[in-house]
Amino acid sequence: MSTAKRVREMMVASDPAAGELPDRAEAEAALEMILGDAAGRQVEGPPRRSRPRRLVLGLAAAATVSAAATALLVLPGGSGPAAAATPAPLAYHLTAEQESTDARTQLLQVARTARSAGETPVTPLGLHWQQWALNTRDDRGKVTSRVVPYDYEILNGPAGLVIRRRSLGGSDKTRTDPFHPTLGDVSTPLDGQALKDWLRRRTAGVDGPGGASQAVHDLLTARALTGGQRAAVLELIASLPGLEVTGTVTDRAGRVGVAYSASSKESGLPTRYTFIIDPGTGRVLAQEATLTETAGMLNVPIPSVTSYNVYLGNSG
Amino acid sequence: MYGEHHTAVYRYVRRRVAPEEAADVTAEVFTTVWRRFGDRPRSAVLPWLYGVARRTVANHLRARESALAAVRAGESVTVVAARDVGEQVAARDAVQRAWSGLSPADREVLALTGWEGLPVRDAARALGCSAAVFSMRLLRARKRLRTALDASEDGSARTKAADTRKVGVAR
Repeated sequence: MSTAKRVREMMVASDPAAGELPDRAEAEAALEMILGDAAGRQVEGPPRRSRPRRLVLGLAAAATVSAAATALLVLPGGSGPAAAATPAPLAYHLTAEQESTDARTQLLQVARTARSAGETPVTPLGLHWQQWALNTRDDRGKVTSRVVPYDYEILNGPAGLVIRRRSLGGSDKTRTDPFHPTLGDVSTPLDGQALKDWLRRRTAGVDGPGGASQAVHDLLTARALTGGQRAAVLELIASLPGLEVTGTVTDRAGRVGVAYSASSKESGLPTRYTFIIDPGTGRVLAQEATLTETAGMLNVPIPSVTSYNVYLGNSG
Repeated sequence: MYGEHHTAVYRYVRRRVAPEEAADVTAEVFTTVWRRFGDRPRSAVLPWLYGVARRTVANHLRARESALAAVRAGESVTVVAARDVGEQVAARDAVQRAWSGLSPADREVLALTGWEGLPVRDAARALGCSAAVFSMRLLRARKRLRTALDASEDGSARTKAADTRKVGVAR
């Protein structure tokens, strides 16, 4: 084994940026300021200091925190530690047939089905998904949390891609995203190993369950996949160490699928990452992350769902 | 380039600076990139971006250290005790603790390989050295990390609880 590979194996589970994504709106605003600064310099001459941008970004961050804080639900029991609110775990039913065949074999069979279908995504292209992740605040023993998922839609409009984020608790936000990749990009690899190598450019931990979960989520919320590309996703999931079939399950959108899970401590706490697959089409219907052994400093019961994503398909 | 590589650069920065500073420092990186746009290579853009990010982060950390020194000199210290679960977990994580105790040069070769996931040739480009030199540095850095990890197994470093904590598990 090469030194580089040994180093990756040693360090990947300790990645402090695992699962971290930049705020797209903030990134967009930063680019506008960079380009605006450059345009201004061309007219005015000498470069300007970046202090004004820092101030604006700081104010934007403060506004974001303030908005998030007001969206939090204060739980009862202010004097003692109250448990954070989490959604109920899904009910999985493992059949004898599912138990008799290993998970990898099952998934590769579904991948072959998806690949043979080979259909292109329907047009007009669009994406629709819902997501929730545990986010609690512990302030001198007073725990606050919320179970309010966000509903996302990306539509291919005439002026570019339009992203609509709707809090199922109330707020609504729509914006265009000039940086979003083309939804139907044909460059997405058609082979599981090639896809893994491709995703590793952004998600170094893609070989483990947590990194793969993140990378698959990033992909499914950025691209409308063909049958062949879906097959590659399934091959990637099938390659995860310790993958097991969890059983048949009805996801949070009421669709029946088969769940496959793998566990790891990549997040710092033992977590089971579950992928819910439609065996007929090979679509990833949903993902869930569940704490299985200990909640660490999070005041939640074991097991507790700490995040879920429901992929609702084409929104066009 | 911004759309393609912003997330990777953000994560690079996030691994090396405080969480609340990552977005701002990433913006600094791309400001420099924009000014040096004519210098960009035709291929292997990401290692070049990491090279720019490395210098930007180093400048940022130096400036921060100077500011802290000034505060210490004035004996006016404000402790901001706000940590997310990632930080707490990281503080408990033996590998990251051991990595944090290494020299900046060792930390960089290890992080480029272990976290940015760059192959040796690209990581060498990011550092501006040859692949052979990088391989040698990586070999030595790995040994030192291994030694630090072995030493830390006997330690009992614990994370002090903060008065005010922000905890979360986010995607």
